[in-house]
Amino acid sequence: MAADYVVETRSLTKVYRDFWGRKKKTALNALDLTIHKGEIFGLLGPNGSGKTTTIKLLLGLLFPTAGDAFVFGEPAAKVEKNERIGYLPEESYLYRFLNAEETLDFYGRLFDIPAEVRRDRAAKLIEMVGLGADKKRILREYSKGMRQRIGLAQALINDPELVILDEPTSGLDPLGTRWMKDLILDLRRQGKTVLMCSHRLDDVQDVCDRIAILYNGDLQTLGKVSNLLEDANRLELRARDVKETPELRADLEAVFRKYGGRLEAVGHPTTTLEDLFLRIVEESKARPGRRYLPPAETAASGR
Amino acid sequence: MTPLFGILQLDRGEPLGFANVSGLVQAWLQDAGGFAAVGLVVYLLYALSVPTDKSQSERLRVPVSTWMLAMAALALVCYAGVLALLVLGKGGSPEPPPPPPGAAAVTPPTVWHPEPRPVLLMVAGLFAVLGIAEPFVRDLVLVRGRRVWALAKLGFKEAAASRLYWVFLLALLPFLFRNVWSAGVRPVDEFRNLVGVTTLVETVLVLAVGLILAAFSLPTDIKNQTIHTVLTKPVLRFEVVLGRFLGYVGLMTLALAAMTAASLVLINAANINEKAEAETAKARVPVRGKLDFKSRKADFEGTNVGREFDYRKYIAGHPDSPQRAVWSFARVPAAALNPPGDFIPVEFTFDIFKMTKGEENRGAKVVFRFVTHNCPQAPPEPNQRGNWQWADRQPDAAGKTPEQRYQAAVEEYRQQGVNPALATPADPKGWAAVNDLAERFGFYEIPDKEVFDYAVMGVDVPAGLFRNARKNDPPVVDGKPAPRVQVYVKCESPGQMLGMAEPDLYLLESTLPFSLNFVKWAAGLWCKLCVVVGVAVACSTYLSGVLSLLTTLIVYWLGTMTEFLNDLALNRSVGGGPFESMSRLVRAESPTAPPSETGGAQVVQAFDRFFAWVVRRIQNVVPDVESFTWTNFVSEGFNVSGEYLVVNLLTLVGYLVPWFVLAYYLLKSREVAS
Ligand SMILES: Nc1ncnc2c1ncn2[C@@H]1O[C@H](COP(=O)(O)OP(=O)(O)OP(=O)(O)O)[C@@H](O)[C@H]1O
Ligand SMILES: [Mg+2]
Repeated sequence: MAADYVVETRSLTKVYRDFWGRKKKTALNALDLTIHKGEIFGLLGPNGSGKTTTIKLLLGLLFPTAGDAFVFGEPAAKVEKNERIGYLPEESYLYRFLNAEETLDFYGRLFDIPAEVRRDRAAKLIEMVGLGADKKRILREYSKGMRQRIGLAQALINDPELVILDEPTSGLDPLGTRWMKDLILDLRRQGKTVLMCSHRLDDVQDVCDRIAILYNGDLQTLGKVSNLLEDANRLELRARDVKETPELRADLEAVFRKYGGRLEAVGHPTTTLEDLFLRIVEESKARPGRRYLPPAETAASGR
Repeated sequence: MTPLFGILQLDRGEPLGFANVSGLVQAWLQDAGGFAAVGLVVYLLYALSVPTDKSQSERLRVPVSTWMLAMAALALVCYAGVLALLVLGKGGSPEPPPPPPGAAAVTPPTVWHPEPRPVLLMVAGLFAVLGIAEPFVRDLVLVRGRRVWALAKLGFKEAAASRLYWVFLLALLPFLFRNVWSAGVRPVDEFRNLVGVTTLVETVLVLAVGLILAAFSLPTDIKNQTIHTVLTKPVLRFEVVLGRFLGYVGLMTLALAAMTAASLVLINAANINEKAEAETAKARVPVRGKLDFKSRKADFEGTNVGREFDYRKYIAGHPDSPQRAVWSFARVPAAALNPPGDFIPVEFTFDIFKMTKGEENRGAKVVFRFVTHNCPQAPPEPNQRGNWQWADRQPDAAGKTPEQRYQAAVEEYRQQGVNPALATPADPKGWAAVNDLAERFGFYEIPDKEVFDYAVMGVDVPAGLFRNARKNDPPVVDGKPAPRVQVYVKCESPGQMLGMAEPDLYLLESTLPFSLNFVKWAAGLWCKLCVVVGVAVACSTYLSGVLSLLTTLIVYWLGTMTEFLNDLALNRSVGGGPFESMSRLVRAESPTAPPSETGGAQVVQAFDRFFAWVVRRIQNVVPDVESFTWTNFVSEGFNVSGEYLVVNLLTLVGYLVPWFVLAYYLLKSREVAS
């Protein structure tokens, strides 16, 4: 247990059993994993691959069938470690009859923080997650995204050193997704360690330093994102203010052939849908009242 | 007609007081210790069966300390000792004599047993408890009020959000529809009934709501997975249990307080029959005595008049009857020495059984004789007709016996125009004379009191008598000090039998306000509330909401049947236990025939003994709900002494602690997320 490991698992295995002890499912199989201080670690995998199971084992909500899980160098079953952990559950498992303020107050009281700091932090977090206007409404009335936001605020109430996020972007609109990603990067900047799991690959790609891919409880890949994704055999160029013509293509082919390579494709880059969505939302904010009119209708109304 | 208080009390005996605490602790250690020992052995076997190379987390989850092992070993050694004594048939407590056939068996009060076997059993239990409680106590010191309070408040808010509190308006129903349910009630019973119905409604409301809240809270939390978020904070699992318990108990305490206050206001405002109010709307503090029946023959024990279910014994009425019912009081209450008005009321309720058809609406003529140990009485000689005599016939210097001196003193007062035989506290001069005589001679007699059937009545006794009783130490008779005050009751009406039981007559030390007593009743209900909420929360750490609800209901319901369980546990029903009854049924034998001695019959009896043993274990798990019920005290107008409530509280703690330890282990061993 070296001190710079925030999380360490040693052949961590979880078998779900039914009441009679019969085996139902091996959700996690001999997982060996270490997460270093200050990194953003992504746990990837298709549905049912054991991501949530891993997280629950780390939090002590489940007990390992075999192997060990350590957080901050201590066994996961210890309660004291929770002082330094923030956890955003897969779905916000919060009490629906509390409002945002009461929620943060309740969870805050479970930590050993002075009352003033707690109140102060709660107010700041509510502003940060953008629920300032809704803080007196009970959670039952919240939309999924709003619950995800208060869930995040709840996870940060103790200013944790390790933040565990289970599907942080689920239920969030693209704007919220971007905000969440920025926030995760911000957490790293503050020196915190983040463990997130997701099956939205673009999210992971954008923020994670290292990832592990699980499939059916088995660890398939583990490594730095940049290393895993880099394609050393290909080269990408990008140019501005030129038209794609057969001549250009022929010239480029000649150049690449000269260097022993081969031209694969020439074309216009498309922006991502995310970028488009973000641009439109930004514009709508800048010009309230703007409405989209389909081209056909414009023509019709013009007549 | 409501049965009278005395009868109800006889059923259960005196409530447990401080004198029983040592016995209660011993019994608790024996019983809880037995369960603890089984738990400890199972725990250790499980923990040791985990291979040591398994995982560190597993060993952390099921820790085994040297302490636990040592305690288990000590407990087992002691249990072996108990077993040895049992086999040798030594060191046990003496068995109480079996009750005469047909008589209701009264459970002996819980007292300390100093014999080696029960003491060793207790010590064994103590070791087992110390062993199993170690991890629990270790975690208990980590419990923080801040977190428990936050969790308790959560339970509060949850219940408030469900708008459950409207249910408590049902507590007003008895008052709204009073004319409906009180239609057939005798005027004297009006107050009893009002109190009875109010307490019933309140009990049902408080317990039902508390039970539902407690049984479903944790299971819902686990089902909605909201508990995940809580348990990923630095919260001990036991704090969740404690928080739920305190939250719901706190909430229901508020509800109970509100309902009690409202009921009190409404009861006080209710229009009650005057006689009923005088009889029951107060809290008497009685001083109770011991009842014996005496006659010329030494072995007179009172007569049975052949009524079924009659706890009372009877004395025959006749001017010459030597039969007396005698209440003996070992203690003179301090309040009796100088009471306001210089008298102490004595209250009584007698049953009159008419042998011949006498005049209707006429009572029986009864003589009350109050004496102290300074004026002992002796049964009459055959030639003395029925009159009991002053036992002390020593003439003084002037040659006069005490009785003669007393007569002379009475005569002296007569000549001054005061008749002590007729004086009442309303006549200060006469009463001063009565007090003077009583203080000097330790004797006071009410020669002619008309007593009515089944009515609470009273006579006033001069305080001087008690001042006399404080003089000198009573002589020692048969190793025990003689009682300081005795009351001799005689019935003079021929053809009438006067029936009485021990609680039927008492000195009235003082009278407290009804309202205070009602609040004490609520304290008893509060204990029951804690039992219900505690058991339900403990069950719900492992069972689903519905199952927790049912389990708690069954446990509570069994708790209301302690009498029945007692009979089964002591294997003393007529015709033997269930197996013997069945075999008698099969062989068409009468249940009262003596048990046969064949081998088969012995096997059947062994089964019955085993069954009784099982019932006794069930009894250990079941709360003695009735011991928290003070309804009869309140509705009959008797003070619930603070002592009883303290013992209630001790019993409550003793009952709940094992449940909490169980809940601790259950929730700790549970994977909440699977
Ligand atoms: N309580 C449980 N009892 C039985 N099996 C379970 C339980 N929880 C999860 N599983 C099984 O364990 C496997 C892993 O589940 P897990 O929730 O860890 O997947 P996941 O990677 O988080 O999936 P998702 O992306 O859908 O959230 C699944 O096959 C699931 O069916
Ligand atoms: Mg998941």
